[in-house]
Amino acid sequence: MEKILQVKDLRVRFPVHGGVLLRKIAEVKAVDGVSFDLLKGETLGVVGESGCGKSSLGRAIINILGAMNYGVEVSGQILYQDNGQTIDLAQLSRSQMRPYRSAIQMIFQDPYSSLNPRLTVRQIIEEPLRIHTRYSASERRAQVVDLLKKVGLSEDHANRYPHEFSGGQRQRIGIARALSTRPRIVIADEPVSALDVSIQAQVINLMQELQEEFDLSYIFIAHDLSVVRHISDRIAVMYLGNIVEIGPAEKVYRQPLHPYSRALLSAVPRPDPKATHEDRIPLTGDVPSPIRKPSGCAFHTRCPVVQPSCSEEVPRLEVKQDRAVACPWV
Amino acid sequence: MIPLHDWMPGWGHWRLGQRLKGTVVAGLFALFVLLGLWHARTIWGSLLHTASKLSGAEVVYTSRDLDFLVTSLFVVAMLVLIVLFSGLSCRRRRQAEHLAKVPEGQWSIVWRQFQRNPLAVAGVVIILALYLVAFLCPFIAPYDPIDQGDRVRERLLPPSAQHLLGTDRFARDVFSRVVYGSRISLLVGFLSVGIAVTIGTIVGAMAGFYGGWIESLIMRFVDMMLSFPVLILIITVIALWREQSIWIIITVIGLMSWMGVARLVRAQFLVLKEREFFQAARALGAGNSRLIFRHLLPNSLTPIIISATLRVGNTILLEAALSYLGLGVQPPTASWGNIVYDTKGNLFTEWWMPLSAGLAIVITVVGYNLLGDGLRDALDPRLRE
Repeated sequence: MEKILQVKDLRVRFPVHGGVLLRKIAEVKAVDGVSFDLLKGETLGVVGESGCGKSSLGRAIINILGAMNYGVEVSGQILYQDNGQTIDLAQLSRSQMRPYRSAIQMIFQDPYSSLNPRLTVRQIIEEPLRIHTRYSASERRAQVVDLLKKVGLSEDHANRYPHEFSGGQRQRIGIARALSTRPRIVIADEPVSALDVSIQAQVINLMQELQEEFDLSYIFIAHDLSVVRHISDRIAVMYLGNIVEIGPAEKVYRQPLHPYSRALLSAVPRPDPKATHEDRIPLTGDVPSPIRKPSGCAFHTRCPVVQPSCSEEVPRLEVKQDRAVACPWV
Repeated sequence: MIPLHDWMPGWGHWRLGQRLKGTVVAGLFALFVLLGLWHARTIWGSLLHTASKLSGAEVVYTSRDLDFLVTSLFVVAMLVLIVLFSGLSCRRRRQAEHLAKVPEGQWSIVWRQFQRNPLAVAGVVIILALYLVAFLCPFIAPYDPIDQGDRVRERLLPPSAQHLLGTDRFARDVFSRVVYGSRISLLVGFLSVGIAVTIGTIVGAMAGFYGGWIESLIMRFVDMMLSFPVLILIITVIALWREQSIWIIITVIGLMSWMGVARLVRAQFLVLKEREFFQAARALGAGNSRLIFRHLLPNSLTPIIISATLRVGNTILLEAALSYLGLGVQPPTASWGNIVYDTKGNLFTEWWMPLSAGLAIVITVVGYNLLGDGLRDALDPRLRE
């Protein structure tokens, strides 16, 4: 399979200011050396607890972190394959990045905050076309109608405002906006976690249909493992800014190797009242602060199978069987 | 071809079922017709006077003559405009009935929403009525506001049929002065706030959008400006000029009152930058101007409008305070502030004088506040049904 995106040793650090003069006193290592490849047409699920750096990872890839957070540092390589050319998106300035923005789009978590309340649905969906194309007004109009139909809305919806729609419909509008530039990669940042369960399935199915139709590669960020399992080809499990395990979705799901993945997956509720909970691996304590990450393996403070050397050496992702795991003991 | 009855103000709208609109249009038209008839001789005389001046005749032509001319032309123009409006608006209405339902524009939604709020409509009516008074001063005021009558016999008269609000210590008609004072207050309120909001929005937007050291620099400057007592600062600046004119006061008040708006806009920008639609726009590659003018500013409009309308009231009060201190509008020009100032010696014996000017200030400020509240509700899409 052809790689469309390679992320190499990506690091995102947010400064923490404190004291009277608001000097930088510490930094949050939100993403701490993440590497993975995204294949053409696949869905890579990224799972992990809140605060493990999933969202920062997605936002770092589309290069919008700097806009919101002053002083954020992003390092590493984000290699995007564009018709045989390899472009490191991490090196690009904002204006250099612009032509590639149409290729990588994002679907956001909160459909109530991701649509500008002052614009009509038409204006929201055609904005990317205004930025990236030279279409005439009628061409844009046709595109908007086309996209609305593709995401299961109708032409009549175009002149309404976002507040007139339900959460699921809004998310469809968000998807239509992301697809309007005909992207190749779509980063979905918890696209269904703000929706009702009944609506979640609809949106997921829509995303799968659109993936086939538009030949999209998804980076699907979520904390809901069952959702990720349903849509992903591969799963990456993140803990405190690192990928601890990455591999084919079914394999990781059925037989997680990393102790953290095991604990995470054992916590998935099963729709079987008779099921025993003996195989649960309860984790003790809270996630350590990403400001003061534990030395060595970041998970060693909570690991059920911790070894003395875990606090000394940072484990690297090693290929084991059909996947990569960052734990030398499995 | 527009049928004749459509040109009749009010009639056309009534026939189309728009009774409220028709009544308002007909009422306004009747008002201006009455004004025109009542002052027909004045209007005619003013036009003749100006014509003879223009043709080179040696006549005395004062600013008051010009005032009458402008007002006369205003009345005539309003009559024509109302007729034109009723004809054209009826035609549009008829055409709209034949066409398929066209999407409703954003502003027409806002207007429809606004109309549902009776208090807001009351605010608009008050403000428009005040502006009408300001435009029609010479026709409403029975006397020249600076004309001192018989200073022996007509001084400090109580309200009567001749002098609705009595006379002041220079035997000037207080009602006429209050009517003319509306011009000063409305002008100061409107223009100063315009200046303050423009500067405040630009400065606040820069601070909020760029962040970092630009923001620190701007906001510390704002803090510095805010730490001066505004009234004293304004007095100082005004004292630097030899002659005092209303334009200097407007400018100075405007330049001294933008800080609140700047803070407001910056705070709003900071909030909006965290919202996902802003990040989405960034991810789409929107440029700075698109981000600011399409995503951030429109969503900051609500607090800006509210603060602007509240500020109009404040500014009118500030001008009144300055005039009361003798630093604002200089006598004999009438402003609500210096009318109150003029009565400071006889506040308790001739209480109707300060009361009339004070009430005028209150009504204006309340009108603007009602308007601001109504606009806020109408502009917020989340409050729409």
